[in-house]
Amino acid sequence: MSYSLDGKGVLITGVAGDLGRATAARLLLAGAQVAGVDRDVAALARVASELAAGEAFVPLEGDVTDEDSVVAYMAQAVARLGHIDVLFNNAGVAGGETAAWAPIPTVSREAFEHVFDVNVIGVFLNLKHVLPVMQRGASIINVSSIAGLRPPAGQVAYAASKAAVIGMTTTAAQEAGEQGVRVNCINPGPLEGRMMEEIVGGLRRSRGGSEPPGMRGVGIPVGRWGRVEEVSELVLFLASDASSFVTGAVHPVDGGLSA
Amino acid sequence: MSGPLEGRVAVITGAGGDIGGAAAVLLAERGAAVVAVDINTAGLAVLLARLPQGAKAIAVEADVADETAVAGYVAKAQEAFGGIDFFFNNAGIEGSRTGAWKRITQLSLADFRQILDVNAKGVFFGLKHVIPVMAERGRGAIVNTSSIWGIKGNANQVAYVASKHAVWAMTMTAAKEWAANGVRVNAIAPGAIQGRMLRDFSAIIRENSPPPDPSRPARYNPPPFPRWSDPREIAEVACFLLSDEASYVTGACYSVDGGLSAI
Repeated sequence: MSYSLDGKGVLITGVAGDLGRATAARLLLAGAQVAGVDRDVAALARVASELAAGEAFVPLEGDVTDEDSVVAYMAQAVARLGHIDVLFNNAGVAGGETAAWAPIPTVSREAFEHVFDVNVIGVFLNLKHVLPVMQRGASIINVSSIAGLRPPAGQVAYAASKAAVIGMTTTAAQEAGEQGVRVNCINPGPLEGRMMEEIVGGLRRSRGGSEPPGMRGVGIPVGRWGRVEEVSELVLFLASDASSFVTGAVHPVDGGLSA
Repeated sequence: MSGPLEGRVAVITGAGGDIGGAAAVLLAERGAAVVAVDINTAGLAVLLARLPQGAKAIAVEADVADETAVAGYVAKAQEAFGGIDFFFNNAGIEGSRTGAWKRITQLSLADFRQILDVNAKGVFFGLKHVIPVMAERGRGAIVNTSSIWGIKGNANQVAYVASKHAVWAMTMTAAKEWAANGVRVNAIAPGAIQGRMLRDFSAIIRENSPPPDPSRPARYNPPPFPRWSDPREIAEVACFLLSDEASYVTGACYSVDGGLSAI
């Protein structure tokens, strides 16, 4: 389908991650100008060169957990794009080697706080600073997770942080409705890519090195993990004017896992 | 009609109504052949006249609560276009003048049954007869029309609320049952739509409600969007879920309510 973002300015956080990169590519194809934020400068340069979008892609170094940094990249994005019509509030972490999959008693306070800093504070700071510069018709897409809807064992920090994203989505939708700005979240299931490998790595360690049988398909109604490209199509739909009456809503894209 | 959905076939129930009609127009604009089903033949005639020039379409008069009629529209779709790619299982009613807006203790069994027959049994019959056609080819996408009242409760609408919750439950069940056969099943949950149902409904509510009590406070939280939706805004979400772009989405219910359910 040809949902168009012609003439729209888009800000994507965590653009060097698998989902951020795929979504940047999809939204550029739909006609958007994209400012992509990441704290990993080397990865950001690689993404910019892969996208090969010329002036249409603006790489911005930034840290979503640092309010000064958020204020600074927001201003740069406005200066370069003219306006921010879409925020893909995407930067997030699973918890790293020790906390991506670990029983509650083994999760350190530091690991828990790191997940909340990025996934909760980061989403909050981006909402806080993007809403004042958005115009009627703008759209914000936060990245929650199936883990925020159906918290699994072994992911206490991640699941709690992604449930918090749902809460902030409904709150922001109510606050921004009058301004004509839509706020939604997407709730991906397991996606092929670095984050799931990190989670499976933690699970493997907790089981003495073996991966649970069927981890990559059985138990998911469609029988497979999703691809980031499949999620980017949903982001495009929610970013576009075709979803003009959709706000405050939760959007599973999980192969039936949450049903 | 050329477009991204050229060569695909869409069956739409309740196509004579506002949401179904808007979806039929969108799907036809994008190139799909349309099988428009409704019990209301006048509504179907109006829809056919609204479709873009060159659209492939047939109209089928059928009562979705009658299983023989459901098998009939499925057979007619196959005869006319050779298969079914998209099924918008959408027909629904709010209930009669006596049944649409009543407290539980005042609602007759006949009124309760009428709403369940169309909204729940009609959706079940549609799933039952369309799924085998899709599963045989190993692909297909279905969207059922639930409601904001399929995920929340609402006073004075016990039958409608029960029926639309049932639609959401059947969506999850069908998604799990048929995912392995390549059939995706999702639901949409619309809020208030500018159209026939809400117009009739507002009149029924006025007739059946006591005058407002000025001593009771007004609602604290206003809806995020201070307007009703255009049926096309609802149809866009259904069409997204039907399309290949939603390839990893199944067993989900997407709200289209201007934020009403977020309150």
